[in-house]
Amino acid sequence: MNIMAAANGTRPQRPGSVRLVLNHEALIASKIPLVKIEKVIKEVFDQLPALTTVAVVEVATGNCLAHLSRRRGFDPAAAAAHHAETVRQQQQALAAGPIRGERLEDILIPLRKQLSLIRLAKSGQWFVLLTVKTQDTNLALAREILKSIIA
Amino acid sequence: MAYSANSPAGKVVQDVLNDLPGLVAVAVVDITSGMALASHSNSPAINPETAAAYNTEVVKQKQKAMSALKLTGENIEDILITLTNQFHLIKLAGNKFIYLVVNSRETNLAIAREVLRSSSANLN
Repeated sequence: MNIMAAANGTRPQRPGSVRLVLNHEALIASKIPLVKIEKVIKEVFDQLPALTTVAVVEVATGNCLAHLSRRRGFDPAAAAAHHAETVRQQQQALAAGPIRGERLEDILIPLRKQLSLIRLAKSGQWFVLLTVKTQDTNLALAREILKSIIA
Repeated sequence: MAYSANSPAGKVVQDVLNDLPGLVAVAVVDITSGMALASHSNSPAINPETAAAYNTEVVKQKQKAMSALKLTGENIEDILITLTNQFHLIKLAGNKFIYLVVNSRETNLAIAREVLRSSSANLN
């Protein structure tokens, strides 16, 4: 993907310019195993190396447990809190409706130049927030990759 | 069978299936999102939705390559991919494409292309 980015004239990313940042306090409080979270982020990054941001967020608290981002000045706390609120509102809407035996799997937010995807874990306790540029991937591809990692 | 025969994309999938009943998989895909509008697979090994997502990137990369080579006034008509036992064909029509997988022992490449050429006229 980096070779492709270079061929397209976009600046290739410096190795080491992206790193995994952990929120240890929130991690301990959430009781979600760190190994699992690290594995998910690593797999998403391996399959979508051109991604803008990937984060694991706890639904109940809206805490960002771990994230990895290329965007300078990215505020993981704000992004996590807002998207967690979106998830909780959607879960409430589903609970209020006549739909039974269904659970929220993912939320897709396509913008003109950027895609945001939210994929919930089976437990519903946490979700992965992924943002990518539309020139690097497409909605279906990003969704397939998240689906394969967070089954 | 993941389509409604009432939509243009569903009709195209139905047409291709009628002409090539032995096909492995067929899908009509939106290039912007990479999502299949209609699809059918005769093989448990091929998920047409997944194939659609990845093949959209093939099309987009080829379009980028053409603009990098400054091939203005040229359009991609189709992309042919030959595997050991299969042909994968991508036929472009506007912002959509038809993706077809056939067994190379059973289906002639010329016939498969001709079927796609005639079906794609009904897509837009």
